Amino acid sequence: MKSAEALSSLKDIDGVYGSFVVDESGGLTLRDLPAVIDNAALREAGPRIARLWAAFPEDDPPEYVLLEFASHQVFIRKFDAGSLCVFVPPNVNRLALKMAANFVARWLETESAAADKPAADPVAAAEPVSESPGAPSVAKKTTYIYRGQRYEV
Amino acid sequence: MSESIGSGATALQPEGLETAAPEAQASQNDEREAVESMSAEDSEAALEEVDVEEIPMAAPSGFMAFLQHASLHNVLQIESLSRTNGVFLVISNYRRGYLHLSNGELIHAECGSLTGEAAASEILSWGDGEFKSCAHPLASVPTIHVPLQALLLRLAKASDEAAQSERRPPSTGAVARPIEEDKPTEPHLPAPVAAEPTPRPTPPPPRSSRLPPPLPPRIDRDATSVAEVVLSAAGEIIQGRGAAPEEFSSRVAYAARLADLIGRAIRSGTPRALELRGKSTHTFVKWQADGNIAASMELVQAAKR
Repeated sequence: MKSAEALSSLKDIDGVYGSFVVDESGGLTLRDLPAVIDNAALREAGPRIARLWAAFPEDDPPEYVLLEFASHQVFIRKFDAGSLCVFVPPNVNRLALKMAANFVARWLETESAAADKPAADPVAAAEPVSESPGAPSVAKKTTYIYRGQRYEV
Repeated sequence: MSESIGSGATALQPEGLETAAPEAQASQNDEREAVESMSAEDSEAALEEVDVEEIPMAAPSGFMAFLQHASLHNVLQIESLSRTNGVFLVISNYRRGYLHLSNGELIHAECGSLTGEAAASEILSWGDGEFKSCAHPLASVPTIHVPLQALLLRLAKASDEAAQSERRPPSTGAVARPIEEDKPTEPHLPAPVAAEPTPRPTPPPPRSSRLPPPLPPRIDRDATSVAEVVLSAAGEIIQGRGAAPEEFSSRVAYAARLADLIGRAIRSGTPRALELRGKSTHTFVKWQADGNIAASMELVQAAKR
């Protein structure tokens, strides 16, 4: 599934106008919105959306924020690498919207994890280490010299 | 301001510069009535004869623009951002309409016999044409009460859906038939009995034995308000109750300020309410008519079996 398809899947929910995605610092990464909302507006809003999560208590991981305006609402769902923002009418089916947003957010998390993995640790990616409990461990040996003899443990 | 929109737009003459004379304004109402009273059949031919130059344009100040790829939505948003007061004439393929903007908000529209939101929807659906300031008096009574941004969003959505339905293959669904046609195809089966005149209460259908028994009603979560505050617009605590109202107030004030800035950035105005849902808390923030902000926090307990 492509990014555009993932965002457009939110329009399965009746009334959804469109959506956009900002990264952890609020930079605009994806959009599926009518042209009446331009990128400049989203770039201006992005950092504020990213900072909105700081308003939650430290011991309470945020799930979503809903901003209600006169004629529409903005549903913001946090995920690992950013925030998914959906423009909806006030009478939207909230439960269905949450489910659809969860689905897209999980997909975005998977995509961002896949994109980060090779860049973060290329050596580990090239030489995968088995994590199964039964597999023999490949621990690094330490060399000791005891009474003139060399020992490797 | 005068702008030509779309790829099919014709170049504008600076007619407004010459025709802004007071005597032209006097004949403006007669001219408009004549145009609007035309029948659909002869309007196209007749409108060709109506010279655009006869419509009084706004006083000659500011720039004229000729934008080949701008949409009417874009141009209107520019005017909205500028908090313009004035009336704009929109001409597209021998059709014309008027958009009345007050402080950047669309308050009235006229298009033939249509007025208000219907006229605005009609005008904003036009793909190309001309958009000019004109010297019509601004409507004193607003007929459109929807924010411009919301109207544009709604129209864009309708346009998207129309385009999507055009791409979709035609439906091959079953056609509803009258009950008389629902006769059995097999001759040995009896014909359907006509409906009884007095309706009888139907018992609930028997539950299939393959389905599990229905679950008893269960309350999954219990929400309890743990903190409530009322803040002034300046961030002072007017009322506070519950656990750690100062800390809660700080978070509410910060979230409310960010929400306000987000609303301004996306040109949606001041929010009416804000909801922050965490794993264990649910915070509701409401902007009150007097400018104060009321907020409450509830604890959300996990579902228990």
